[in-house]
Amino acid sequence: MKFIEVRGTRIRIRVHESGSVSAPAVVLLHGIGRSLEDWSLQHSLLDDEYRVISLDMPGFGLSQRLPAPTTLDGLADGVWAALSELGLNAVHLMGNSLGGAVSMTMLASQPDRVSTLTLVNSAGFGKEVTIALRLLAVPGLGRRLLARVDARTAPRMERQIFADRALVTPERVEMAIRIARQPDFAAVYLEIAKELGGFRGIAAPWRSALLQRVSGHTKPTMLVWGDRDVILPSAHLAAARVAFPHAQSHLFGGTGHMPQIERAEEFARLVRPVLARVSV
Amino acid sequence: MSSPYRFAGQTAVLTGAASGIGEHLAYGLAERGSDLVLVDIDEARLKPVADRIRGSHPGITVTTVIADLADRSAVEGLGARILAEHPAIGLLINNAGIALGGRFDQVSVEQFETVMNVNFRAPMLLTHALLPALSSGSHLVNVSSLFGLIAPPGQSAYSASKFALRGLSEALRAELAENGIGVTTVHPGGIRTRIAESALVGISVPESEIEPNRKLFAALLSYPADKAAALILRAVAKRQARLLISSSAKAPDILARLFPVGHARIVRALTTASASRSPAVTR
Repeated sequence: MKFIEVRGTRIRIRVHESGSVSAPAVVLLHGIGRSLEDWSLQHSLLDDEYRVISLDMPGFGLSQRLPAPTTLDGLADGVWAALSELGLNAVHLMGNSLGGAVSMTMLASQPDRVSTLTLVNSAGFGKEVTIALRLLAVPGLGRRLLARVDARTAPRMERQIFADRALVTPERVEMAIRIARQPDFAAVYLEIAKELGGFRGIAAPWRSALLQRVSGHTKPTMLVWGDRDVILPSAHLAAARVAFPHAQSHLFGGTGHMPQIERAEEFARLVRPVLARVSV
Repeated sequence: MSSPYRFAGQTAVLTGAASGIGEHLAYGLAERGSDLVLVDIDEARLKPVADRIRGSHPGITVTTVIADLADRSAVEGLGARILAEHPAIGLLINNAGIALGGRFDQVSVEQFETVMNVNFRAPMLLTHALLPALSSGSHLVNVSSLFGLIAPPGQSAYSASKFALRGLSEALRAELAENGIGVTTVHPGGIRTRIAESALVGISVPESEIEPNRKLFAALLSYPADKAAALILRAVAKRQARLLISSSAKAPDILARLFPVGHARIVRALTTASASRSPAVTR
């Protein structure tokens, strides 16, 4: 775990790296209000053949925020800048939830730098989203809800993520509380939530615009979902398959919002052949 | 049965998977994350279906089995093999079926029995053999027919087999409910499949009538098989007891030509069963 300075010394980004620096790079992006810990299990599952990089996106986890209000484009640019700082040009991209939408935005902005795309319970394929996120759009309520991430509420939030409650470990709860105490946590959370939707759910215009920008690409693509996801429903997988007709897909049974944790080994087995289709 | 059927991570056994509704059921099950055991007699057609699924959905397991469901010992062997390899099955879909053209006096007893064997005996044997692998939360689908509800002239064997399958299926629905296993009986009518091409023809049907009747039969089949498959999977998810799928757009006219005497009754049954092109659903 280390911090890198991106764009001079303005933004400190937390990065977890494993594997050989000369191996092809796999970049793992987390969801809204989350951190690189959501990808920690995949490091040891993939780093024998790949340089595996997970990072806290700007303003999330323990990374510093962008100076401008947080947007998808801003996050995509921020991640690309961090990867350039690490000396990386082309990478395999994997994104969970918001990280999926950021991955698609990165593909749209710098398609030549994306080797393969793996979207994991990704935002961008429907308006349905958990009431917990929709409530953030209620004026005054969002900031208050986000200010109250503590030992009592955090386990409840973690339970939304997994089908198997045993995965709500003390470590995960502790990390959720730690990142919620970062100075810009609530502000960044609300900025991106507001950009992506409102009380009525995830807004359509940015989704259709983004899908239009990436629909022409033919990069090897894997679409993954967990059938017990209560944050972004697995019915969105059908829309994702329409948006990426050339993609492969897999729906995990008995799995919630984070198959990369809940089905870690199966997930790695599933994506390895996708990564192998392109040598960076 | 109130909890929805969840496809992902469960094994589905499907007969008649190489074409028609079965082919599209296979694609739909794969999209929903089910591991598949695909059964068909037509190896040349089944292989590309399985290969296409393996290419699009590398995370699921696809097994193909070639079997002639008209052959009793083949079905028994199939059941034993599947049970040994898959001790837990989420979904069994008895979809395979064959048609037979000709009036009762134009078909041989052997032909009649072949239709009964494929359309009724095989699902009965397979369901019986695989019952131990079905448990609470599992689901059984029997694809009967519109002609499992009405019996037009010229369809004696087909209707008899589909009435029998419907009877078995409806009785099983009540029996298996006690074990938490759902049963859906499907009655498709006029789905665009290969059933007309592969239909048997009664041995005494005059040569001159075979092709015109086959063409009329094929023309009756207008409802897209992929849509029919999607409706069936939706009915499974909802644990629906009965699903009627049919297009009435072309049917009345063609039925009138096919069955000049009895068509009025059929049309009445058709139109009361499904008032529009959209599928009529009864519970």
